[in-house]
Amino acid sequence: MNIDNKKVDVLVIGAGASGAAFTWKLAKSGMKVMCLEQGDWINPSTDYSTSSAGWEIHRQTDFNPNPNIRSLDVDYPINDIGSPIAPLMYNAVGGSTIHWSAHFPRLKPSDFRVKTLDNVADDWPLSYFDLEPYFDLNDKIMGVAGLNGDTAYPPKSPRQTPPVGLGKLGDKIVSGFDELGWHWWPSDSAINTVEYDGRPGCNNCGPCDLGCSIKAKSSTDVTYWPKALELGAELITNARVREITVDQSGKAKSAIYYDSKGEVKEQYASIIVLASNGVGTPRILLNSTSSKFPEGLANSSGLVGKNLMFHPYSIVTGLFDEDLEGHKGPTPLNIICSEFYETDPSRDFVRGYTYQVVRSLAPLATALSGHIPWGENHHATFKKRFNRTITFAVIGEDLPEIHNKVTIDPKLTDSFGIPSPKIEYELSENSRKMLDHGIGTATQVMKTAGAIEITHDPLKREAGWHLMGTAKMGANKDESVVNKYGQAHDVDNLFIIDGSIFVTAGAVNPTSTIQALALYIAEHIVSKSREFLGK
Amino acid sequence: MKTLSKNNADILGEMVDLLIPANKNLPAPSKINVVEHIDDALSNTPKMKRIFVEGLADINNKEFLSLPKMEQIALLTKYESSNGTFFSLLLRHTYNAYYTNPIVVAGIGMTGRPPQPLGYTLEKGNLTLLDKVIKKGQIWRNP
Ligand SMILES: Cc1cc2nc3c(=O)[nH]c(=O)nc-3n(C[C@H](O)[C@H](O)[C@H](O)COP(=O)(O)OP(=O)(O)OC[C@H]3O[C@@H](n4cnc5c(N)ncnc54)[C@H](O)[C@@H]3O)c2cc1C
Ligand code: SF4
Repeated sequence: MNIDNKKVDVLVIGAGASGAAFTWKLAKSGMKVMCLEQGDWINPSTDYSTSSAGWEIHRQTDFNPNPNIRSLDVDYPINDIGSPIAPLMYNAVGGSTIHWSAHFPRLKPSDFRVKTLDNVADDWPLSYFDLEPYFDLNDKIMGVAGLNGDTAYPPKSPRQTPPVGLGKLGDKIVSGFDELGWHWWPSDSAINTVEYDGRPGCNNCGPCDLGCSIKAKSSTDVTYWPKALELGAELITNARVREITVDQSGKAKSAIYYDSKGEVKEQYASIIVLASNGVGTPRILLNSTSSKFPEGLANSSGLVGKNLMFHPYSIVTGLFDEDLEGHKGPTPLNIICSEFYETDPSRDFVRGYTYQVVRSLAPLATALSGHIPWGENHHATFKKRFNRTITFAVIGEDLPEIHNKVTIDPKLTDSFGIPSPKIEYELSENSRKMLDHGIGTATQVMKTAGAIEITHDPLKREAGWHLMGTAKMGANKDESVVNKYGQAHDVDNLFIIDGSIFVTAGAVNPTSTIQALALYIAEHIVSKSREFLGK
Repeated sequence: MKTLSKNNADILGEMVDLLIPANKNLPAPSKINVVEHIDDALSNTPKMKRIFVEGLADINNKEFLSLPKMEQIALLTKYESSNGTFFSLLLRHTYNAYYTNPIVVAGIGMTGRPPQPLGYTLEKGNLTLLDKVIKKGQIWRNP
């Protein structure tokens, strides 16, 4: 084994949304921080497909968000047979933000207090207002387009750029919300709508999921990472971590990883921080067994990998009888409806849901949507659908359940032989009722806005975008994996900063909250650095 | 052709033109290199190549090229249910090639170019309707 003896203060594993924010904050405070990332850099101006004729085909191949379909060498396979929802992610500098839609809503104050308010799951050990300064700081570095004044949130600091445009399609769907008198808002997006922080404004090209070649979309490879590196942080790419080792006293000692040539290396650190996402982090912990931790590192509670939450999605699509110019603008339209977010005792489920609007499908996606027949009626049907659909993604809050979990598959491994994760997930009755309610109200909006045909998918399979809960935060060592500072109860120099530590999921996209938490934890480590580093 | 024999390429050409018939604005797939595109895809994927070669051999046995058009369509319809794997691959790759072709993309009313680097112009939209939402006041639950 090749040992890299230069011990660092802090070693972060994973260069995605959380790892980038955290590393930047530590580097800014002068700590010696290194990040190991299994993927590589992507060059936005040359590596994305959206300037080539065949751009849409990349969704089926090397740019599919499902690692099992994409199957690049850097991807680890995931056994998801036991789940109706497939986990999605990307492995590169920037992590899953390379692929993301950049919806940037925060969790809401009630999300942190679900036990007290609704007698379900657990309260978080911190509040929305504890995180508020970190939400604000994160918004500043990521660059957020939005409009202040959303009645579904406490007031926020000024948004960095104006909201993403609604376009003709947005105006159409807003008319439905307006007539029903329901909440809608041009929600936060981590997209520059005008030039900000040295990056240009969005030119409304559409397919954000295929990567933004002009860097208007705030993936962390173009936001945090350049700043972190300038401050002296070190980022080692093509470094795939197999396990974390511990010393005799049970403290985290090093990370063992494979470099691009498959050579095994070991990196020592005073503090080790996991930022490998809600599936990757429990995978590393469960693979890090030792005589001191036979069930996996930091797992005395038995909760590592448990309580997996995805945000189950239903999809409702309305067809309209006019051209809505649905290909113009970021496909993920920023309109959010929070009318059904908070618990309402008159409904047959607790907690709630939101929906976000998706613009029309691109040409190839329209043809492949399952609505266009081959043969004689092909062109006529295509014409009736193309640029004329509006979709709602109904996002439900799934509550933590112990049987929804990530474990280690007994057979499956990645290309270096590191055991791969296995996912088991069942949709709860509460989630089903919630989504059915969402399908009903979304259908009402579509109808009111004038849709001539409405179809729905009750549970979208390729929708495991949000990976949460698998190393839960809490005050009690027996009922959680880490404390409110992300510090493992069992190993005091081991921290977790990604979506794994979510106590509950809320019903909005998680990344703004993941990153705010990462900054909050970083601040704590900086403030206690003498204690942790002994210097 | 990298993978397909002349006969198989001819059969495929006839098939893709039945899947997406030409009209006055839009060309027949065989006229815009859809067969070549599929042939190219097959050369990179051995598993798919096997499925295509077997599927095309079966169709060849039915003397597809000499059948009248209505019978060709009937045969394709039968294949759609009886040989789903082959048929859905055929359909996907036909659509892949067709709907990424600039002539087609222009023919369906777009500019015929990829999304970048030019992007599109998007209207801001009507935000005045937010007044009603604002009037309703706070809806977040203060814990
Ligand atoms: C298609 C798509 C769309 C999305 N859209 C949105 C959205 O609109 N809004 C939103 O809030 N969220 C969205 N998400 C989710 C969002 O991307 C994630 O919540 C966020 O990136 C999670 O941050 P993270 O730091 O926990 O993990 P990631 O960003 O996934 O980063 C983890 C990193 O760790 C690395 N890693 C993992 N294991 C190892 C190992 N063993 N060794 C070394 N490195 C390792 C990975 O390569 C990866 O780079 C989307 C996700 C996808 C896939
Ligand atoms: S729509 Fe805007 S943010 Fe999205 S990829 Fe295109 S330019 Fe980038």
